[in-house]
Amino acid sequence: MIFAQEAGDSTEIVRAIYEALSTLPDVSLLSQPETDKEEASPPSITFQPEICRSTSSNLSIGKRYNAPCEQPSPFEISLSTFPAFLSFVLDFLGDPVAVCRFKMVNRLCLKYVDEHEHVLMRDAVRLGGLQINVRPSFWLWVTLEKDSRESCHRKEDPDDNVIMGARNELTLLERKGREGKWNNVIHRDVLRSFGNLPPHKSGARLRTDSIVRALATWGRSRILKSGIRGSGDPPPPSHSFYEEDDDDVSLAPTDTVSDWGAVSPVGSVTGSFCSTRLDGRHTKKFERQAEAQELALGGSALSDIAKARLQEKLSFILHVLAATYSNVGYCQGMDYVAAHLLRILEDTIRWKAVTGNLPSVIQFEPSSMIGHDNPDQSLSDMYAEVDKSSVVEETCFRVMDSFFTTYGLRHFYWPELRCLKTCCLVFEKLVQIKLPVLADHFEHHELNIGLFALGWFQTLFLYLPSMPAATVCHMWDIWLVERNFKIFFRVGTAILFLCQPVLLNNELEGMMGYLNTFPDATLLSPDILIACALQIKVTNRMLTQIECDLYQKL
Amino acid sequence: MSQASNSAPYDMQIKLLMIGDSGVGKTCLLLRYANDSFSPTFITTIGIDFKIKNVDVEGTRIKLQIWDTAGQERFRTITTSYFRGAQGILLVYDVTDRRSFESIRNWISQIQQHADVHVNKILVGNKCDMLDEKVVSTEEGQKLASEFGIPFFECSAKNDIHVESSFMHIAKAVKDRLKADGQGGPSAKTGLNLKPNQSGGKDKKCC
Repeated sequence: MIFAQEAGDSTEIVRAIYEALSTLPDVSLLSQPETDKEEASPPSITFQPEICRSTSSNLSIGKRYNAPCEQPSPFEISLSTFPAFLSFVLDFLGDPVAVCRFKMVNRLCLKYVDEHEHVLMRDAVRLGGLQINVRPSFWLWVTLEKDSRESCHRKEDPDDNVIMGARNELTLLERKGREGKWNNVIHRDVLRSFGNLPPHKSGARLRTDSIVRALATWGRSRILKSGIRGSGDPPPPSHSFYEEDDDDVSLAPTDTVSDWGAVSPVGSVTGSFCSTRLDGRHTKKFERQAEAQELALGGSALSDIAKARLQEKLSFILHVLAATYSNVGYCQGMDYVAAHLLRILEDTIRWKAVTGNLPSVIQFEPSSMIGHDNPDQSLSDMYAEVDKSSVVEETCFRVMDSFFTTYGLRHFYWPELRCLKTCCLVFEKLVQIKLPVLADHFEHHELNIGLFALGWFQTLFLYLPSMPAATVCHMWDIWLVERNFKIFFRVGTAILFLCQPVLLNNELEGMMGYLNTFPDATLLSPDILIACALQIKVTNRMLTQIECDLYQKL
Repeated sequence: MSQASNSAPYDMQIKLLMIGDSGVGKTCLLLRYANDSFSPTFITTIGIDFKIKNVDVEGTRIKLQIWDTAGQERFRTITTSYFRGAQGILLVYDVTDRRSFESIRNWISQIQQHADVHVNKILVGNKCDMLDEKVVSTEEGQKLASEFGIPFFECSAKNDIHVESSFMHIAKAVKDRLKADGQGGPSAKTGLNLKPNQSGGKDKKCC
């Protein structure tokens, strides 16, 4: 690599960066870039290669990271001579949190990260993904804050006014939705949301002898990553609510990732059994297990009370959506997306409401009961208070709204489903290009790809039995940073690629049976499926070209 | 798994299709029949699902391939592309929901437009265990069924009332029709029954 010659041993630098990261609370000691932001020019660091030794020895000593007093560190030198070096480091780390944190290292980093934030964040999310306790905050940031920052100048769009209204307007909209023609359908679907998986769809097993393993090139092993993340002391708790916590403070929201606000208290996928006992000691291990095992579809893990609470909120969200987008109305599939979103975000939104950290678009005034001056109050009381104010519903609705407008999801649900059908056609062509043998096989057995792909797209890959929530979430992470449906085409192709050996050995019935049940759940594990999907090259130009060809034919 | 069902010996294969409004209980009926299991809260069916059930009707071993469809109106354009090739159609409504009963006429006109002419049909009123909430009377159901000249059953997937008999009835009707036409038999497997879009050809590819 180029920077290796200039900056000495690159691996050592990377290790040094990593060590700096693992002692994160102290990194900010290096400099306080936020305070002197007005100084736009980066610090002029003179290139002095002969004094490169100072920091690496400091670093290896341990946790107290001492800023070099006079001389620039090797890191600073290489950064000033070759700024793109930071991209290599961040890509290597593959952690979106690190991207944000690097803004705090020094002004040069801040400038570089700010300029390249989209690309850096995209790569970090693609390569590494988000940890379960960071994800909800990240989603909120991407959909609500990042978006609103960019869109404040395009506010003149008349449609936006409806959505920008205050909460009582939302309540009005909800009433309108309840009186509208969709009430009946929504009610039926909400009752079935978080429901049970049909028995023939829930029997998938992870198989050690799975042929899929042979097909998938293992990306960055999750084990390796979790090993790295596990080291380094967690930051100390600072909130009064968390004083009863002991060493398990990695879940405590003290860890401010600069832009997204607090890290969520619990990854909400585990919310079903954690939401009532936030003070519990959920180890990271437990979280990760839950992440790996929890299925995206069905709610068998939820208690009846939790289910009823979520259903009530889901009903609100769907009614408001149907009333806001009256020409789209309600379409099955929305319920799956909104339900998943609600499940992921619920705990984080409550937590943010309690701590007053909600995105600025949400107007939420914590009542007098909620506050730091009342340390005796238990967290569950405060959550009850938050639940009464329907702030969770509102926030989820706004995220859905962002999905619908910024991310174009509403097109999937138009009454004639034209967009959905086009997606299936494009996907069919894509399969013909990428997996010609399989496409021939499909054609020979007259299996229409829409038969299964329609459900995949309509629910953003939630409607796959035995699909782990972790995989869907990672997929959505990528979708959210890329702002592009490309990832779904990639994942769809990856699924077909990974089941190709089975599909080729079956006729229509066997293929449909396999794709309806996925008896081998190995292929849906995030390490395999996403890694494989990211290796399938699908470009926007390719998709546009396919679409244009389709329209010409019609 | 799937290979096992493929290799199972049978004399005849029949494709059945279940249609009806969203939430009338198509999935529940199917799973009661095929798995003998019930849950009031099976998740909503998206797209299309299917199950296989091997039955013995008067000495003929029949493999039933039952397709379960999504009910919401805007998916009708997609659902109807699977009508062709179906040999029996179960029209399902919910006895506690008049709207679902009223749209049966609409579903029948869809069948007339998209399905094979001789397809066997059967009208099924589900949830007949909910006597207190029943709004569509048995007589009404019977009347509609005789108007179209099709058999009528009131079922309950929950309490397992008449579920098996309605599936058996339509299986037998289809079997008799195919036997009379001189079709069926294991040879029919090659090409006759399987394909959802067989006669549709290329223009059927709109999902």
